[in-house]
Amino acid sequence: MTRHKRKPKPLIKLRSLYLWHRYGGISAAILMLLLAVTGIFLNHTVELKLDKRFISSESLLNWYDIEAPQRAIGYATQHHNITLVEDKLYLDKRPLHGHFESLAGAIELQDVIIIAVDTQLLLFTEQGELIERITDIDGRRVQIGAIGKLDDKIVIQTNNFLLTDLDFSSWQSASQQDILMIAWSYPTRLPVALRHHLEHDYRSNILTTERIILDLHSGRILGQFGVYLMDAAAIMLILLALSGSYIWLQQLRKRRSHQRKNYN
Amino acid sequence: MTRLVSLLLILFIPVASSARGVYQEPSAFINEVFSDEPPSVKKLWLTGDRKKIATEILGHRPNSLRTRYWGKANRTAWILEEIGKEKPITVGIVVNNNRIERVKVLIFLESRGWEVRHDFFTKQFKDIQLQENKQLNKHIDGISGATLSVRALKKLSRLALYLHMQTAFSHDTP
Repeated sequence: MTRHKRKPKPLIKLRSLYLWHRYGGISAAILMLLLAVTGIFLNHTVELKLDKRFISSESLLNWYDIEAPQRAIGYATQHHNITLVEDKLYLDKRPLHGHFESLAGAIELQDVIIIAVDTQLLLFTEQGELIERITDIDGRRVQIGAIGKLDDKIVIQTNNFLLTDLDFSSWQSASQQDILMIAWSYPTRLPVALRHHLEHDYRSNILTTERIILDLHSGRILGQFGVYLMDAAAIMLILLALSGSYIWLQQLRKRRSHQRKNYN
Repeated sequence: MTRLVSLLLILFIPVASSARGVYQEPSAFINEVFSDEPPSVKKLWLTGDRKKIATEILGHRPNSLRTRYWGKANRTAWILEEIGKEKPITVGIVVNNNRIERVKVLIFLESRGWEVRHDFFTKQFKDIQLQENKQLNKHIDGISGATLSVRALKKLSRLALYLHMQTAFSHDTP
């Protein structure tokens, strides 16, 4: 008596699994491509200087809610506008190196622009090149309250009123009569076009390309929904790997049984 | 475990908090170097060839067009700045007879690499000279974890030696 071996029924119908695998693969492909491409970029952040490249696209800046700076204080000299936008200092439209907390004023003397910030005086050429930083005011580091001119002398207000010349080698106290004659530097209203330019420049130096790519990679660019979407893509990839292996195993088994039949 | 964490905190918090900051005001350094009788401040313009060579030494353009120094006999003192990684390191350098007499870190704002302020490191610069190729004539041992700060101090020492040679104080007593 011969016994017929019963063919084991597959747990899942292969054809439906194959269809599911195909459509699942297509739908996950776009997200997989995004993950792979952004992943490659993130692996080379330093070489590509992604952390030093900034985004200036208005729509992206708005998407990230990067707002115009709260603080912008400006002083005008004969030929230039000096502005402190939050902690960034500008000579006209040109950003100057460094971060500053306060701007006390600016004057122009013999083609030298003298800017009083925090505890120092910055000396610039007309072309915006830094000549020197004076950090030592009469042998001390003091907060500057105001800057002004008295003929060809520079006057600063600290605890008292100090006078010096462009050599900055010695300081002397101003007399009561001198104080009355000082032409102080006062804050001015920024020209509208300049204000808009500086606001845009300020906003354009906050969001790095690295941040965008990281958020694309994690899905955070779309908020919490994006994170779930990327989670779904990852789960889909796991399922595709499992279903692909299952299909391959089933097909291998079929092929082997065919070969065995043909051989018999 | 809690004891171990507390011990580590006790050991490291004072080090971390004291590592950054102003160690000595530049004006105090100058007073100390010239025994409280500092000569009048002088200025050296970094333009033309000087700017070119300073750029070679620093690996970037000098931060300013003019630098201050104090000089007496064959001795000059310089207050120079260079970025370590992100923030400037202010260093006082004294050059005597074209050799470094003293290097002192005055202000250190970086979060790492503050070990360069210690004497065991800065002593290495004593008596160093500048070679024709604008390199130091002696090897300086580095400090692991402070590579960028060490590099900054080496650059500033080379710059101070070069700038000293550009002054009248490198030749004879003015």
